[in-house]
Amino acid sequence: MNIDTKAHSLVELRIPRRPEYLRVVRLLVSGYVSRFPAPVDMVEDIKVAVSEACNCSMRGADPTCAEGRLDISCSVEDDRLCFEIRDENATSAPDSSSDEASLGLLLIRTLMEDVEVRAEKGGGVVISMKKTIISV
Amino acid sequence: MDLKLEVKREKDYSYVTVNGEIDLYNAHKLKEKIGQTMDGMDSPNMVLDLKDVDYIDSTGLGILIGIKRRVSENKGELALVLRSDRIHKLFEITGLINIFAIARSSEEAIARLSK
Repeated sequence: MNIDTKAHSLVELRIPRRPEYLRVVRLLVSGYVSRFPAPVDMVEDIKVAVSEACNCSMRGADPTCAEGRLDISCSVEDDRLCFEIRDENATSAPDSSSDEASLGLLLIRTLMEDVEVRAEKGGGVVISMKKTIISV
Repeated sequence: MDLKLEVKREKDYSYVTVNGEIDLYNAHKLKEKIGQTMDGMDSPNMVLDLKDVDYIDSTGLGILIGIKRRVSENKGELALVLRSDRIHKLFEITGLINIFAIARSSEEAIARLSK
């Protein structure tokens, strides 16, 4: 399918790295993906995966770093939706030792494509993921 | 939507109805309330009715695993009521569908406790 990427420009959101903002993230993702002719199931899959990526960061957050922030970006590349969750204060990859953390990572990797967790040169950790748009 | 819980104590089981979204922000409420419920239960059996839960994340799933462990330690049975296909899908992906007794209705869940 052909998508006019210019018409679907980058959308970014910066939130405090606190769980009370997870619903804001889900609303953003839901609204963004709903602009495309995507089935409801796909919208829900992406909402779960992006919210789980934020969970990864929030669970591992240094409690003394109360001012930490998360940057969430949504964009389009060819026929795929791309999402990045950037935690500039994170120093290591998400911990997967607890039930919750391992379930979260499993959900992200199952629901999305090309999932990557990478440390940034200047500090911070980025979780990126993509999803091919399947028209309704 | 905020998380709401309602607990009914029956002779042979406790019936806990959960309403709303369960995520990292509010999942501790579920854990605390269920913990309090279990402390005062006559029977170790429990039905957890999640049919009005719109969203659950890995934190909520992890808490359900903890509840299941605790019920089992008390030699009780736990049955879940799930209607949402989306939430059912999360149970399938994570393999939790093989761990929990899952019913589509409250009647079916209660019946599964006695099996």
